[in-house]
Amino acid sequence: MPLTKGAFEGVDWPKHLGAYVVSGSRHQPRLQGYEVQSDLARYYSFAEVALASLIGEIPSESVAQAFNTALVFLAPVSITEAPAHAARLTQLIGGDAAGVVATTAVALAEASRFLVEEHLALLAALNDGDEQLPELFRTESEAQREAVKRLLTALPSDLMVSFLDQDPTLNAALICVLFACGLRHEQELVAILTTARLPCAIAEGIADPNPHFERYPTNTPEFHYEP
Amino acid sequence: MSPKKPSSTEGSEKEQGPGLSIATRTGWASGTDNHFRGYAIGADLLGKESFWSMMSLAVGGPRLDDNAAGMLSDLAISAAAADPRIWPLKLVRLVAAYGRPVPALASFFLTMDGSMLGWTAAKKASLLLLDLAEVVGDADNIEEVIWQRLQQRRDSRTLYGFGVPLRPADERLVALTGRVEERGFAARPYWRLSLSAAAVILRETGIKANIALGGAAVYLDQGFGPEQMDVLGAAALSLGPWANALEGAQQAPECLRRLPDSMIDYRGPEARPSPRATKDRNA
Repeated sequence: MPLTKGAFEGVDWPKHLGAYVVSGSRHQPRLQGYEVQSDLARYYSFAEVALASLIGEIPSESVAQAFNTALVFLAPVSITEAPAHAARLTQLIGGDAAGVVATTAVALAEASRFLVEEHLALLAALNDGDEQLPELFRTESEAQREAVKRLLTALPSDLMVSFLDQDPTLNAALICVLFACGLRHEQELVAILTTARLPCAIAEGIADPNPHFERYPTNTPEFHYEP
Repeated sequence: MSPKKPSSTEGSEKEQGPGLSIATRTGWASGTDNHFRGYAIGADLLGKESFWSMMSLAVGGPRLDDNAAGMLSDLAISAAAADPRIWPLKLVRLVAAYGRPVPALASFFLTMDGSMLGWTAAKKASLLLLDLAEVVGDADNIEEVIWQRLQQRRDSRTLYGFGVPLRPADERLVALTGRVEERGFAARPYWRLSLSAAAVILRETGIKANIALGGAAVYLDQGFGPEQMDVLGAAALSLGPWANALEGAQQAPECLRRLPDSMIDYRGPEARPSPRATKDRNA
């Protein structure tokens, strides 16, 4: 007997899916209204297009430069960090290309979520227009101060970025730069932190030309069974 | 408690790195008989424990007798909805459309964890029940105390464990209730509290309880805490996703990989030239 009257049958569901970013035909798409193949591809970098996707507008020259600088600062992922380490293990176990990428992306998304959640008070201060950097995000490290100085040197001088003169940690400074580029929400920040770091984490994961279980430091760190 | 310095910053500060030793209770590869949560698999567990008793051990709980393990099995079966139009299952279908079931299932777990549905709802409903249990105590006027407490909690935007869209009652909770009664678990404290809370909220707001509330009560009555529910709930809710992941991968329908363009309702910015294209054109 055909089943025709269930929970979903009594609703007049919409027939169309809403699109907000990409339009046009599949062979000649537009992104936020800009023609991709004859306009964006000709005049803009990938970083600018990625930012335009999220904020809805082509960024100004100085925002684009600041965004690109932040992406480059964020890009390196050491093999000591869980996402690249997870990529290496996936490769070692024999995961296929999609398995390596998906595992690395999940680990990076988790790392990004963790970082953003630790900086929610900073995000609130930025959104509220506070004048003082919350104490939690001030660095006591000379190495970090130097890193933030290098960031400042690479940023365009005409872009206003909050708190950079108040001794922020490098992560806090980078979040302030991304905020100044128009990324104001947790989801946008997690998206960009993950995207910026994905190529390098995957590259480090798959770089070992001869992966072998015997050459992998299985007991680092050491696990002690204490039932 | 003062706020903690972000560890994502502190970690990079430590020149020596963090300690390189981690204690584990999960298991040990003995080489002859794997250890699992303090038991030898072959000598102690195999042939004696059910899947759900092993799940209990996995999350740090006790070995379960047949009735207790059967209750967890009943919960999983009660919740085994598999209609691919159910939103998380449609998500499984989308990912499976490229031909592999396991990544599709992984996407289900990633999406549901921290969402407003599934085990996250059960976990949050369990926090509500724990809170209510504390305020209800030995009170005689339980429903009145519950309603007062719920009024105080109005800042919570979502009342987890409540709300039944598209049908008059949650058939999964109805099914679970029958099994709870049959197994003799209906007199347990969190189940009774869940019934009281369900009655109060139905009377005061017209909103009906769903299986997240019942599942939370079942877990709490068996001694499992909210953190363990993430894992138990994910395992319990995997039947419908597995069914959809496999069938979806087998079918791999093109219409799910890409809907026809005619199905799109574009609501973004109108067509426009970029600033650099405009400048180039005007030069």
